[in-house]
Amino acid sequence: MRASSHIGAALALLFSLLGLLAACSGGDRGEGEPCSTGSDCGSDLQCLEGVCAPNCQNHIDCGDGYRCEDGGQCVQVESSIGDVCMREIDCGPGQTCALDDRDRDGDDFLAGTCQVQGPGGAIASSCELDSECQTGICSIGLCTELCGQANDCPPGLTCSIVPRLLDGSAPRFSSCLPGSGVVVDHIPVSSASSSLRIPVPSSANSFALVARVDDESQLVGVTRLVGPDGRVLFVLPETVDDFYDNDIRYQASFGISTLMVSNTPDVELLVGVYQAEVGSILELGGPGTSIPEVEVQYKLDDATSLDLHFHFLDLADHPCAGFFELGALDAQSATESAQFQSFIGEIDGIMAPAGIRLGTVTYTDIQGRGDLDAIGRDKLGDLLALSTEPTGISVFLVRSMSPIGVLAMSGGQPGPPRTPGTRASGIAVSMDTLCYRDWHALARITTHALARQMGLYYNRAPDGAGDTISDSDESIENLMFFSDFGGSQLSEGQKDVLRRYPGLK
Amino acid sequence: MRTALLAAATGTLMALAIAHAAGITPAEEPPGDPAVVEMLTGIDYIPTRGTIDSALGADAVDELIAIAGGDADESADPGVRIRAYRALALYPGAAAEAALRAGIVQYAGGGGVDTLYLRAAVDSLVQIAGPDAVDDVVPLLDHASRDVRASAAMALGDTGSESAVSPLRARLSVEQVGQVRLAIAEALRELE
Repeated sequence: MRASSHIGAALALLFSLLGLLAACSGGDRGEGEPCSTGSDCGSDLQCLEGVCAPNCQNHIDCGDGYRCEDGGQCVQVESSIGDVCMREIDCGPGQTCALDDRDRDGDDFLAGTCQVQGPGGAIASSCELDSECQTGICSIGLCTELCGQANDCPPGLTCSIVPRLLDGSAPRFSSCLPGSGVVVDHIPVSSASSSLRIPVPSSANSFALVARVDDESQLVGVTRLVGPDGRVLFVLPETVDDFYDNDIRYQASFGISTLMVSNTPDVELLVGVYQAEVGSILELGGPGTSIPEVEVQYKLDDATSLDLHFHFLDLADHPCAGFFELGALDAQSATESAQFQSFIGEIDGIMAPAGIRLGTVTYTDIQGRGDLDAIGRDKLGDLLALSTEPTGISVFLVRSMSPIGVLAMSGGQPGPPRTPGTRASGIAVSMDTLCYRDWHALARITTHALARQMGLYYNRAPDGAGDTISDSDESIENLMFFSDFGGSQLSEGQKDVLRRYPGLK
Repeated sequence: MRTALLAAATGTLMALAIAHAAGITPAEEPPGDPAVVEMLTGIDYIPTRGTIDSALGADAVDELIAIAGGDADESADPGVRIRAYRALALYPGAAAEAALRAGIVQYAGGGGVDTLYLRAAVDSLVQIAGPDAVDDVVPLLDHASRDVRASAAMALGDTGSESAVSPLRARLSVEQVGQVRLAIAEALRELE
């Protein structure tokens, strides 16, 4: 062996050792490389369970049993079974902060204790029972976990105050719930008349209770509603005066009905438990026999985009087809007609002062339903049941309505949000209107019907009764004036109610 | 089959909305008593006889006949006239029947809004005259407008008269429009 070879090999070994030393002390290992401490890893990385990983932004980045500390470092939580906790991240790996089943200190607020995490759904997955959730907490139809502040929750969720439904009481707790959108809670009902408790979280803007029965010859709905403060908001009316006396204006309906809280700014939505008596009712009065299906939709944001889904019955040879710009009106021509697009623009313009703008607009032909080309109130449900879109409101343009002179009909007041395919899912508008009113008027009439479907009542009823919204005047200028000679104005209270409709996205 | 077309409408609507941001001014009300006009222009509101009596007083039927027939101030608006024809169904009697029959004769040959006067008159006449309206309505089974034919068929079903069966069957044998065929079939179900 030559001497120069030995020297070369020694230098190579030396450089290798120096390089390795530099790497260990310089902290430049990349994501996924092994590490012993945080100093082994490059900038914006931490050493987590022996591997360099990005610094955390949120506790959920760290995994179960860790929390994200200032500086982006995940720190394993040390806790024992039975330790008191206020947040999910107070409990270590394999544990969950299980909600107490009673208010131990009398502050009407529940804490928890660290317990072994159970099987079941992760946070924000759908549930009906606590046992379906890893955390053992099912609230308003979602698995949830305890929190102390917003950044205790995974992205997209916010820390809300929620009532916990216990026997005889409803203490509150803080839990992670979606910060936007609509949450639907299906409430099991086992008899034709039931007393339900509806927990309303602090993040809710409104809620809609939708009750349905299969037997459409029976009425269904809420017969009594009491707020968390004990205020009686609605009692099934026996007279017209009773109807107007209720703080929440509402009527049970055949097959399906929707109660929206609140449909007047004069009734503030409160955090707490609403008590609702829900049942079926016979047409001639008295308790019904059908067991209702009940769901509660919580609107958790300020979303104000309204999708419209236009459905065109067969309008060929309509006696006033001369007012159709292209001589015909169907799904195809509606997209091409400046006149029809202007009509949609007018609807958007009427809604705009309420902060509501039209979102997605779709166009669909309904063919082969000659039985529904012209309808009366008795066939409205069959027509609206053809709706399929889960968002926004379906608008059915029919040839005619009977009795002659009826220009538009709404499926409900409000209609069931996000519930297509029911007898109340949408509105219908008569194209006979164009025989003696213009498109401008038709836009106002259509928007009037949309607003009813979103929960507004007449600003002045034909019998002279006023609105439940105290700042609504009785002017003909108002959108909700019952005559087709009406304007498009909305009071601030009416705008507020429209924005609460859970069908907005 | 159903055709679904999706339009990402936001941009177009934004532009259109700006043009209409000022809101809609109510159409100018026709002359006459504003309370009567409001009562007879409900979007989805159908006044009861009590409401009409309160608004029009003891001469309600004559007032309605005048409005429907184009002889009152309120008649300037077709929408008011249509609802006046409709409201006459609440006032059974010789005067209302005569006015409705006159309306049917007057508007049987027209198109456009005339078909609405015609259909309103037919519906009301059948409600108050029942089987006696069959002869007035049967000729309308051959009307040029499918909407009038369908309305006539439904109205004949409402008469409850067996004498309507034969003309309905005759029309069914030649009728091509599904809407009308279904209306005839429904009427025949009621009558048979």
